[in-house]
Amino acid sequence: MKTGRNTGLGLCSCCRKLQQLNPHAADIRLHCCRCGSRLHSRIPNSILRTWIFTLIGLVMMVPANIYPVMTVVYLGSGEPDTILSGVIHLAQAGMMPIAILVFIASIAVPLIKLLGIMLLLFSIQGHWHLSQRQCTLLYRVIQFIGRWSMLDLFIISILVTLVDLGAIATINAGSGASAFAGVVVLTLFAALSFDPRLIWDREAPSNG
Amino acid sequence: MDEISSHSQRCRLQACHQCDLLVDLRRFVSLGRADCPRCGATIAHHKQDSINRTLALSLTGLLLYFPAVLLPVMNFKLLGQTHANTLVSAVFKLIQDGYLWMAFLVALCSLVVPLYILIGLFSACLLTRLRAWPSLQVLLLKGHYHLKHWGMLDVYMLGVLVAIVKMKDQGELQMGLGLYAFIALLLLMLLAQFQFDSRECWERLEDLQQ
Repeated sequence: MKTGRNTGLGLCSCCRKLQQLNPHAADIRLHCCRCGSRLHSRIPNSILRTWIFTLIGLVMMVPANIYPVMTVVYLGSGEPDTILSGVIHLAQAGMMPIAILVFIASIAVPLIKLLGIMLLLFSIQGHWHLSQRQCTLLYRVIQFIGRWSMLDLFIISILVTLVDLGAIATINAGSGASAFAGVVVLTLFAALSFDPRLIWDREAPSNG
Repeated sequence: MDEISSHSQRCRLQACHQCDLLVDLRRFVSLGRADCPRCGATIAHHKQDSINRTLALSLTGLLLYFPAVLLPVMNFKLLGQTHANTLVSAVFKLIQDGYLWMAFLVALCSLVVPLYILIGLFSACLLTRLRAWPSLQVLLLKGHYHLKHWGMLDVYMLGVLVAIVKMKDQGELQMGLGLYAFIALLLLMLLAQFQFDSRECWERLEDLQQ
């Protein structure tokens, strides 16, 4: 199986120009001849960086779910909602489809994403056995669903502005929302710093 | 090594960006699209008349951008009081309430990056057609590559829909002109990004550089 790596060719990650990598000058910084970006055979320290973003993301999930994300004040009274209690209130109010949607976007997607990335890392590091096709499928699912967890932040920003009626009713954001924004950004960075080519490197070992 | 590199020019060899397999693109010329035989990633997808279509779509998108972000998306009325929201006011409200980090993220994903993508696509395609300023083209195309993941108008649209369903029984809710402009902007944005063939722009740029 001929790959870029075992024939001494490197693909620019930005403009996707395939070009010669100098095997004798591994420590010299290479730049793409077309767009000038840094040129690497693989994203440097991909596994370490992905682990760091994923673990910080997992830790941030705790404040994001404990602290309230939104408070609805109606005629002077109201109590703060966390992500989960917000979903439960929606379900109790008979808005089942929205409750499911918010649950998927705010709780299921970040969790699936973080656990999925950890599964990918474990299987690359040889602690878990998933086939390369399964890993690639998992990677694509993670890439696809990641951005949809911004949904709750957009909803909060819309509601906060829309319901701003002074003494009658207001909706305020909570500190949990900031933590949740952190989770979203960290999971996006984790997925971006993961190099899917590492999945396939076990099949075709490099010749140096 | 030299053999391979000179060969790569001749037979248009390309490495898959998701699994690094070397693929000979000549085999796919008649299809207009090349999928990696090992992992299935799309390596190249030629689009008909890509540059002209992207120009038209992104210019229309640019014209609709300001109405979409400045006109009210919805009006909410309760006990005689009414309030409207726009995409821009949503960010200012978050800043006012002290949630700077959230405001930054919402502004980035719903205002800054979509605007950059439209301007970037328009000017990159225009410069490609005019065969002018290759160094500016490099900057525009690189910017588009790094920022494209952060444009989230489609997610925002879902957020608007959820807000509508959630608030429609709580008071009186009216759709504003901004909503229609926003829907049109979203569709144009998706079409422009679908039509845009970065590979063609980069290849034309390379011919210009030489």
